[in-house]
Amino acid sequence: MRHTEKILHLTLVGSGGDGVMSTASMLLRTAARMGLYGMMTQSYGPQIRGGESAAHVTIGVEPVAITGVVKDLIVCFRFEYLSRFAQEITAAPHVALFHSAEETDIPVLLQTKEGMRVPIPFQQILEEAGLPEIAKNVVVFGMVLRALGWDLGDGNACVSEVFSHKSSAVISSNLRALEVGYQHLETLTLPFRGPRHGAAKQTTVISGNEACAEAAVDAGCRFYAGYPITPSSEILEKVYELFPAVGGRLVQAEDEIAAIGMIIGASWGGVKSMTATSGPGLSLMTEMLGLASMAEIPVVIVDCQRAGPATGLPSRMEQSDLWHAIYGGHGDFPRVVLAPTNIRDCYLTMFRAFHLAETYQLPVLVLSDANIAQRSEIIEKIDTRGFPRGERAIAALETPGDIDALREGIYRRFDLAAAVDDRWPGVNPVAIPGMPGGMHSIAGIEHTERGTPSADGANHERMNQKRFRKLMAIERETAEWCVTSGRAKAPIGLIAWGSCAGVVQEYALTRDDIALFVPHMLHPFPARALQTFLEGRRTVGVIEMNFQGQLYHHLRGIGVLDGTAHNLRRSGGLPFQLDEIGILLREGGLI
Amino acid sequence: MSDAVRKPIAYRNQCKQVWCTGCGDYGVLKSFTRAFAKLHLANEKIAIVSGIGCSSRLPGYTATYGFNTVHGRPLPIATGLKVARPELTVVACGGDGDGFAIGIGHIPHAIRRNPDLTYFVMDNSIYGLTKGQASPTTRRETKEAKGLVGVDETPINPVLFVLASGAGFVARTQAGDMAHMAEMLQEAIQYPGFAFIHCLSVCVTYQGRSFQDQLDRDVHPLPTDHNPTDAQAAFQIARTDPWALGIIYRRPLGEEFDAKSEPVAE
Ligand SMILES: Cc1ncc(C[n+]2csc(CCOP(=O)(O)OP(=O)(O)O)c2C)c(N)n1
Ligand code: SF4
Repeated sequence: MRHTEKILHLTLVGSGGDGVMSTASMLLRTAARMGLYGMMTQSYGPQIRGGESAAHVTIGVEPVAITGVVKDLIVCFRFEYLSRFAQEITAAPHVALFHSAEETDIPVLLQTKEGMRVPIPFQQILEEAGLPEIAKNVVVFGMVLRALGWDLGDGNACVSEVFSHKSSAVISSNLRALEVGYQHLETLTLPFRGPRHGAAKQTTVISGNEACAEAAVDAGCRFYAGYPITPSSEILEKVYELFPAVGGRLVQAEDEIAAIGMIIGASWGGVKSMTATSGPGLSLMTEMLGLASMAEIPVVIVDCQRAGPATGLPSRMEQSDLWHAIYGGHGDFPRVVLAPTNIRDCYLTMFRAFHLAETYQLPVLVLSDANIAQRSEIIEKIDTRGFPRGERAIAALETPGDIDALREGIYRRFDLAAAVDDRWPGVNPVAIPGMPGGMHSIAGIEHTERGTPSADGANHERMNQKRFRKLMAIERETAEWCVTSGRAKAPIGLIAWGSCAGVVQEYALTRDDIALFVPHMLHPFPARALQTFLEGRRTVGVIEMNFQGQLYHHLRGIGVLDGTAHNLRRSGGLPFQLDEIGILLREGGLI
Repeated sequence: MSDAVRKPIAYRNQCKQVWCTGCGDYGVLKSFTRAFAKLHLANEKIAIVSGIGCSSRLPGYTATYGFNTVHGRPLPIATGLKVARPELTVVACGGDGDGFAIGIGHIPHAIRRNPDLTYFVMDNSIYGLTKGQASPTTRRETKEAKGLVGVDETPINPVLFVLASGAGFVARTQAGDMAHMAEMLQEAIQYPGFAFIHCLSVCVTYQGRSFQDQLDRDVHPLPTDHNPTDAQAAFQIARTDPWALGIIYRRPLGEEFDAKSEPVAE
């Protein structure tokens, strides 16, 4: 792989106590301070805590779309841990390898001719400087900072910021640890140079989960209920951190059934509400997904997809909840499915989710995945001013004049005649509990215009028509919620979604015979836009990370793809690597 | 209209009730409207959230806000609503199957959170809507006599369960005594926190006459010297007397957690 001064790929491999994640995150923050872009992904063993972990960091002068596999710099605390990450780590010919001085048998994987080995006596350095074991991550941060030729001042600023909520003694001890690390490698010159200056302005370091949380609160979410589950829990934690300032309320529910129940209840009360979960939680929520749609209550549900059914591979990514999101649940009911493709995109996606949920009064699912959820990126601050912010239409209510009017009820919650309005098809203005004159009941049982239970098939058909009319309007409104790239005349048209879109895009940039279509709406699908994109293409392929080809079959089912289209897929686990896209295309006979 | 003192009928809508003739749920509905009238509640400030079952049809018949949700889930939904709209009087209700079979997992957690709402369970000790299967409160003799599934399973004791979970207000009443039901409901609504009412009710169709006979014979008021703020006495009643009616426990205010009701900003 090319090496330029514009991009740098580094990895830290260690176990729980080595603090590789915090070192990597300090590097990322420092890069942001220097006007650079970057991305950090983390990889764990099957157990979520303890065990070995790898932090991959890519830093660039330009925005970074993926963390590369071919590493310029590797910091490894124990060689035996490396084998777990063999698929994720390859040494560049010029690799610089920092490892503990006690270990002398360099794994074959890391033996290169031009590379450089830097044995580091971590224990000794700490002891001589009188630093505690927990300062190791900051010492290592200092070393990498020095090795990359970055300023100690930027490192100091980063450490002060990271430990700002700690005592001044802790801050000064960490500043010293940084200096100790920095000075230890004072005389070192690496066999390569990484990026040192960038021009990015107003950037921030944020994970996908944090971005979803921030955007949700920004979009007006004021009630959150959720049950912790990897890889979604940081959304709950971040929302909890943000809520006090805006007066929101959060409940940690006893399970996902209660979580979706609570948001349905709060949203019925007129408050924008959401939950976040992963596949197992979405399975538990499914009955009430139908309830929200049937009772026409806006809710936003983020599903940070992990791999596999049941417990599956909890910390790995996959795109296998698509069918569940689009089709899951008994009976016919409209819902919307959106998917962000990267962290920046989480903002717009969350705004759109609340906009659609509130405007059309139905459940909206946001399909994130373990990769977007857990990785951190340096991104430019997002200006959300132009983002859609639909509000729920509120009914104009009359106060009933007498007891008979009160008992009869004037308000029709599910008025069929009113719901043919062209702007809001299928939607009725709501009366929020507490509003005089709006008394009515709503139900998960099929109901009449007044919300009274009804077992009449003809009424059921009319109500289905009303509820599904919303999808037609949404399809019109969101017809362009997709991104295309590549030449109009490129013979190969690829379709990719979610976090996989980034790597496919990177690959497509290396060739001029590939154009790419990335839907941001998965349901209802921007079918017209896809058809336009596909015109004149010789070959079409859907790239996705699941075993059954869920997007491919969905697109065949709705009639936008025919049997000549290819499906390029594999089960989840690690994210697609750049060269893997080429292999998939070659194996599929597309190139 | 809004300022007038309303009569019970003003809380009943004009929807035709479809319970079997003689079903205990008719009386429950009347006691609800009576309690609302006694408390001078404005119709729009009341929200009733039910699960699924014959008993859960109740909010469909009141001229208030109502939500007939799905089986076993009224408590989470009522909790969410109360957080969003603390100014409302929120009553969750449903059957014994709804509450103590499918929905039982939510009860202790609702109690821990202690939202200021009332949970009213119409316990007819049978699954009415699904036509007569055993519920978690069906007595073993009944199951044996009717050939129902689960003869070897001991019934749950709702009052003991709720007390042990830490509820601050626990009362028992019966569907045959409208005045008592309404009184319990008023007390529960006025209690600032999670209040539980166990209502012994009759399913004429699937429990038959024998259950009503048993109620007629066995229910009785709590002993006159029962002190509802005495937790030990409450547990004693809960364990030993399934037929005692009245306020079994009322935690004095300021003891342990009080209900929270800061509004959500919009
Ligand atoms: C998830 C789910 N499982 C099962 C049912 C079927 N079901 C409806 S009501 C009910 C039990 C009714 O008994 P109870 O809650 O005691 O109320 P009752 O009808 O006696 O008032 C059952 C099992 C359902 N609606 N939903
Ligand atoms: S079946 Fe039983 S519980 Fe249901 S309405 Fe009839 S009497 Fe009431």
